Amino acid sequence: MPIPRAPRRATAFILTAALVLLAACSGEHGSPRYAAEKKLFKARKMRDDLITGGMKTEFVGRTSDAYRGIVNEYGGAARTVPELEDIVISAQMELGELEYRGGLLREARGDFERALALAPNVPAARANALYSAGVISEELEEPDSASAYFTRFFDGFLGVDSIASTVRMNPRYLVTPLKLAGLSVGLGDQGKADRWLMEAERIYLQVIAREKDPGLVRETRYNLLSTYLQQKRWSTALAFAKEIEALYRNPQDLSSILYIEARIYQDGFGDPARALALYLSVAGSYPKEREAPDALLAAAKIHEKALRLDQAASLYGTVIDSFKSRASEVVEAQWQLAHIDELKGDFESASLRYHSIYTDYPETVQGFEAPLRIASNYREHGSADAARSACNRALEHYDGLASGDHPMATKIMAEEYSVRALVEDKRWDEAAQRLIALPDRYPDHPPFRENYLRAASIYEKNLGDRERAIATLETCSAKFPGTSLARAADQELARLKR
Amino acid sequence: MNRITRVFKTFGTAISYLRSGRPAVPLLMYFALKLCIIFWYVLAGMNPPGSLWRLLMRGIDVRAAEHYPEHLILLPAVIGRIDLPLETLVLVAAQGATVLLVAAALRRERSGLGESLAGTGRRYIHLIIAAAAVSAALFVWFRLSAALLARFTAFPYGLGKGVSTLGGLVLETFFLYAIPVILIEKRAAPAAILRSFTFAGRHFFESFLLVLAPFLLTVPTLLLSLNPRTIALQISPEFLVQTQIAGEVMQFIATYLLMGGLTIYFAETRVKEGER
Repeated sequence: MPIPRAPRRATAFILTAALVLLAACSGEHGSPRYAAEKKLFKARKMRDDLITGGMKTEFVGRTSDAYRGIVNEYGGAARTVPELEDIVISAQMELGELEYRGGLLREARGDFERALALAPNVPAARANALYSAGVISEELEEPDSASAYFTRFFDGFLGVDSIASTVRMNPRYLVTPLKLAGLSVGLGDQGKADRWLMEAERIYLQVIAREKDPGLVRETRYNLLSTYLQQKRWSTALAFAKEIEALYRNPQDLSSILYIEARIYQDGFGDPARALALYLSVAGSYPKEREAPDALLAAAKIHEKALRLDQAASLYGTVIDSFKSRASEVVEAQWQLAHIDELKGDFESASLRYHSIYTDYPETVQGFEAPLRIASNYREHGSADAARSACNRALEHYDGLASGDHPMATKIMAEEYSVRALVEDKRWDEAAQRLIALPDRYPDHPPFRENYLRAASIYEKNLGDRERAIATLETCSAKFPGTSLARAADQELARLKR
Repeated sequence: MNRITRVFKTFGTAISYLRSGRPAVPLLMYFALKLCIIFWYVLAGMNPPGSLWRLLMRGIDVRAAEHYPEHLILLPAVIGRIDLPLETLVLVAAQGATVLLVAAALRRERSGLGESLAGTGRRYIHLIIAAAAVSAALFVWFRLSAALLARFTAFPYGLGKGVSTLGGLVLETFFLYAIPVILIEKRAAPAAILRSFTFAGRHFFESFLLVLAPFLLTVPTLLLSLNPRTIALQISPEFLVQTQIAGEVMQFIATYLLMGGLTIYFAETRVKEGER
């Protein structure tokens, strides 16, 4: 039956209109602010997917570009439109955080610096950017730079007038003077460290006296206790710990404070017996608290130091059996048990334990150390062939970690340990070649660029090959012109050519 | 004939009438209106001239709705608020016109769109009263069942929602024939509702099936619209717009099947039972 013309036209019109509307619904919303929000949302989604997917390096760049695109597109207009300013600063900060997560520490620090420039009037963003740059500098093992960032933070945000608002932004900011003290100690300036600790004490006492927020006051009390510990004012620290113990009677606080008291007796008063009793009481009274396995480990180490090896082994065994979910404590207990086996002269058992450590916990420090420990045990006991094959197994293990589907930090550690394995086995040529290959294999990890200097040193000192040392340094100088690394290479070249 | 087969045969007959195009036009017009509203919301947002939306946003954070993706996450909630007045005032007219067009097709008569709309217009007040009565009854039922479920916390949440929905469908079944009674038998709204209750009570199984089958078609999109925030965060906020449109398409199909099916079933049963 033919469809009459009029309804057919009406139906066709309505369907066409519906299709046009459908297509139009995918279009952009009018305002630039809305468009910027949309782009920020997409960048955040990419970031979340990236984190869920294990931070695969190849996708970090794409997500970074999405954030960078927002900053470039709206950065200019942000100066005049307040709503855009927030979006641009958020994008810049999140870019820094993303790079930090991806192990691109220098890039992250650079992006936090740019966030500082973008946010002259946004204190929360400035504080976060400065603090983050300081933390990254610490991780890059650049104490001067870290100290400079934290000092800027301290001057800008921990003054008498600003401290109250700063602690509300993030209570973690309160540890800045403690960090500065630690950095000063690292730089060999004890006087400066003492001055920072005095600043810390002054600030914490001020916060405790004026703040009303009980959570914040509690955290500040712990920071003040840390200050007394760093100042090695043991009696003051113990008295203050008792004061905290009387104030906070819940298991979480009591276990923490008793653990700290035990440390004071052990490290401050040199009283291991009293410390041992306190550690055991923490583990016995609060077995479900965070400190319980740490307390058992500390107690076991006191026994081990006193050569009460069976008692120590028993406590390590308890950690392994009772705290299976606490991987770092379990692996430490296994490591110490292997060490006890070594002390007893049972190298086979020790090797078996080391093997299970690197098989079960390959990405821990102990997991990286264990294969080398097996090789060195054989070496120390004159089994050269066994040591060589243990070294080869270690290399295979590290290569597996470097080539597998692991986080970038694990791959970098594995590469460093594989070089160490070759050096300990005195396979100098292989070690140097491996060192030189790494900067190209990991272009996003600048510390590997210094491998050229290490390789040149191996060629010169261990292999007596000045020509290859010179060639290596020349390559380094040509590859990174104008950098401090190139200058160091040029200095070495001048020395070698003299 | 098997009772289930009979109900599905009425759906088949309703679909066969689509060859002439006419019976679907009123509901298509309503569907186009809904698309325009969605389109307006998505593109105009909360800014002028879209500030009209603010009237519908009581209890919703309007400032949040000015931002992406909250603007799209709120789409199902805002459209849901429009649905109540729109269904009572506009959809009921489209449903009435559909009933008249299907009834004419069943009698093998030619009826124009204008004619059916005019016929609906003449009974419009009664239709609105009937639609308002259904909405009020459903509102009371869902409020009541929610309050009961809140009291019996041991009752599993999903099962509770299922029972509540099933109860809503049963309630709707009793109001099912109010529109055809108002338009075909020319009764006033209260009498039409009473007649609908009696008729649905006599033919409950078939009537319930007439309501249930089209409802099942809308369940997938209905479930998708229940958690817009998760969809926005896990898939994409734009997917909510597509889900909303897909929901409207399914609603259009379901409403046509319901109105067509119930008109045919009601008319045939009257003839069969010798009713006037």
